[in-house]
Amino acid sequence: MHLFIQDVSKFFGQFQALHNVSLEVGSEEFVCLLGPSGCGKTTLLRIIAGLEPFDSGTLKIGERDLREIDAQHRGFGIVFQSYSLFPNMTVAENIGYGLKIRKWPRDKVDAKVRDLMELVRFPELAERYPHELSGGQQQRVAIARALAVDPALLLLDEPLSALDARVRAEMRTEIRDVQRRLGIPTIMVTHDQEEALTMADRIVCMKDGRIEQVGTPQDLYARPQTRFVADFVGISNLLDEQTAAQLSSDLLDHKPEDAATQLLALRPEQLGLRPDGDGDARVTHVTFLGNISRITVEWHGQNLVSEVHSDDPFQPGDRVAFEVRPAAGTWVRA
Amino acid sequence: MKPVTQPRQPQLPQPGEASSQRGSARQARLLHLVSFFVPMLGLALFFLYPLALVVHRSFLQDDASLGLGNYASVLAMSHIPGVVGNSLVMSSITTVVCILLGFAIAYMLQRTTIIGRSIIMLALLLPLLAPSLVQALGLLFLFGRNGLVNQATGWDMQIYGLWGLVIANSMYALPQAVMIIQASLRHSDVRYYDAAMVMGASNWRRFVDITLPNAKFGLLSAAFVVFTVTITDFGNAAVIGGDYRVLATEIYSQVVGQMNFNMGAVIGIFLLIPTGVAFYIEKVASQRQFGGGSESAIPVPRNFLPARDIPLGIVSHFTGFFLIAVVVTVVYASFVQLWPYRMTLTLDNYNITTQGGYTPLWTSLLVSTQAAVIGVVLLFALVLAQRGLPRAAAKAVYLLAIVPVGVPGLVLGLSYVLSFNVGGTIMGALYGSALLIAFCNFYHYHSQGFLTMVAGIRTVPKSLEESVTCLGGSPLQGLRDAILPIMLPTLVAVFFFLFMRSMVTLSAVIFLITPSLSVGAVSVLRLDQAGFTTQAAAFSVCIMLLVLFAMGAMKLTLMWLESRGRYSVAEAKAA
Repeated sequence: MHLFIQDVSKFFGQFQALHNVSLEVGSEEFVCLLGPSGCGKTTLLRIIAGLEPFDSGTLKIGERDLREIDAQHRGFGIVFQSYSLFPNMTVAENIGYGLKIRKWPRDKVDAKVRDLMELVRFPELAERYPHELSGGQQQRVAIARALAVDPALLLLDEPLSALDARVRAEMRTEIRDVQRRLGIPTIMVTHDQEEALTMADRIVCMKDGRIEQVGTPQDLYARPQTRFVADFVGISNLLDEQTAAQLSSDLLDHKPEDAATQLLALRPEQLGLRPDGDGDARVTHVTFLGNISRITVEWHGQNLVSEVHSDDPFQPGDRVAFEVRPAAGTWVRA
Repeated sequence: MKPVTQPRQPQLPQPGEASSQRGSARQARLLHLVSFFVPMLGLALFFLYPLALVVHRSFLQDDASLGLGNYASVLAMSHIPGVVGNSLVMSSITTVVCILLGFAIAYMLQRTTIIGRSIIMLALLLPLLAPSLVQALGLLFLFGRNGLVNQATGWDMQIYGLWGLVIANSMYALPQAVMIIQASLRHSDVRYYDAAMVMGASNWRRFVDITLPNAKFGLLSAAFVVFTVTITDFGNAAVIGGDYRVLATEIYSQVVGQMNFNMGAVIGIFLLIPTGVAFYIEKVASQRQFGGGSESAIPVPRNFLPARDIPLGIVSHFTGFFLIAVVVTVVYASFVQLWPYRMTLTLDNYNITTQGGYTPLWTSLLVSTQAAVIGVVLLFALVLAQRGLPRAAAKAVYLLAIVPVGVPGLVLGLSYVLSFNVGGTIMGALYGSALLIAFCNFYHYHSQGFLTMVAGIRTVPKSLEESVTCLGGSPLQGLRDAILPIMLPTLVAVFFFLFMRSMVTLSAVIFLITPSLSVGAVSVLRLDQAGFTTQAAAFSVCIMLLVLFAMGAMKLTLMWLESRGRYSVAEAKAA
């Protein structure tokens, strides 16, 4: 089932939280809303869930206008960052809650709950209370609870932000797995670009209530269209036309004729370094990251960042020269 | 991982469900309207209207015109400036005593390892169990004309008057002062102290530079609470005040003694002024203080410094001993045949037949239960409604809900007489009923109950309600499954708070009793005034036992809720 969002705007008093946002989500797609805090991504998710009204635009699922259906009757699943499990209900009761509301017979509820508990991998915890579970387990229960009602759409509001790093990485694959298997269209809000890159079919990058760019993770990383995306998704060296020409005049060859495109976004791994006693660049910092090292280089009063294999020995103070392929980088709107 | 066997059937609402949807929207609106308007109607009818009537009556002159005539004639009474002065002097001295002692005890409880802290905590509970006049009663048994001390030494010490009143009121207000100051000490962060120590500050410097500034707001707040409760307290003034007349007894004699309602109203306005000012200053001060404490504060560890803690321990334990001694004396006296002449023990005092016997005690029980039930329902509805209101409106509701704390019980009681003691109206029909006393008690303690409820509902995560909604739950189901389970301990606490206060309060209800309807606290006063002091003691003991029982019931209920383990603090914090 498709979700259509067209020209949706939202005001909080004088403040416009969303500016004519348009988006489509396909029937089995996993879409991430990515952006810094205050960019409107959570507001958009809450509007889709029906928890927040919107001021103008269209919101439809399939052929049905969602304005006519309130949150209670949309039949969407939602998972919050704070788990939001009922503290007074067991794991099984939590998962079966939506079915109980729908007046399913008891034995069918039980069977479904059992199924879901296996899906989220801990059938033995049925009679526990939420406070007896770890954060990761609680979030699994919350996901199972949301899935129990066979939601037409699954909404995840920063579901992994409260978890520690290792559990978070585990849950990424798990959520994606379950989503693929059940084929539920899913929208996840996150401010973590790594999370978005690893999980999403498509990423919607937002800033100040507007969509900056929509695309696959590869798209967003390799072909950012704006300075913001280039900077927010991964790290970029942003060079103006003159500086880029100084680095290598070849880089100007792939500059589009569009007047608004002004900056070259060059990924650190695209900026090669070679020791050169006569080079006009000087290493200022070396950050060891394991297999690679991040090298900060001062060059004509500008700091550039390069990532090189850790085997290449660079020390602060070293004179270096750049190695850049002619096709490297993307020209973005400033 | 095992694949889910059933095929997925996403459920989209069918067009036919539109009617049930409208029903649920209507349910939400109705729920919101009812939970807003019923408590507001209560506030208007049982608080704002009576209070407005007091103001009106204070301006209503004998010739039925409005003017300042009553104020002029009250001020012209030769004894009034003296009474006002007496009240101010008495409350000021009491405030100073309570702040000094309160800080010492709070510090001892919170920061030191002095032994016997639990005894002090127990001693501080005692004054909360009984009507305020029990302290005065106990003091009279010990230090009165026929008190043990005078009997044993042959002295002729006089306890009636200013000093007796100061001691009795200090005992009555001290627990509240300690609680407030202790809370402010509890929120200090040890890291400030560590930082100061590393920079070379001495113990004394750290106390002056960190402890005192941090406790400043607590001290100020405690001072206003003590000042307000003592200037408006009626019980102690009536029992131990003697010839030292204060505003609280004056308003009573104007209204009940001389049936001079307009004059009573004027004095009521006088009483509103100091409490109103105190209330306002505290509000302002608390806003300035705002943002002082942090959630992640690491508490300051206890320690023992002999030079500080030996004097502190002596002061605290002496105070604690005194509080316990007075109550123990009352209990003991309740078994004595004729204090202090025939000290043989007997149960005769408990055979109370005058002043309606034990009927008032059962009335108290009924009134307190009614007040607690009505209060919990209305306050819960009010915080629910407030939660859904826009910011400005929510703030207005908040302010209105905490105004009652600034209105002394005597003034509230008087306002009820003026509003409800009128024949032939619907409101008049309530007069003389236990239910009216219950309403009066509830609105008397409305603010404290409301603030507890607000604190409680803040622990209900909004996302939990939203989860219910998204899972298809109606607003009522959200209330039942998301809000109520988390609010349960708060509801229990508010219920018993209202119950216990209703059992012991005297100042408001003193105006509402009729020849056929009285409450326990009034019986103690009447028995004492009629000279049956040991019977008054016996009656006090009965009240204390009931309140103690209620307190035990509350603790057990809360422990039971806790033991079910579903209300862990971590859960509320994670949200």
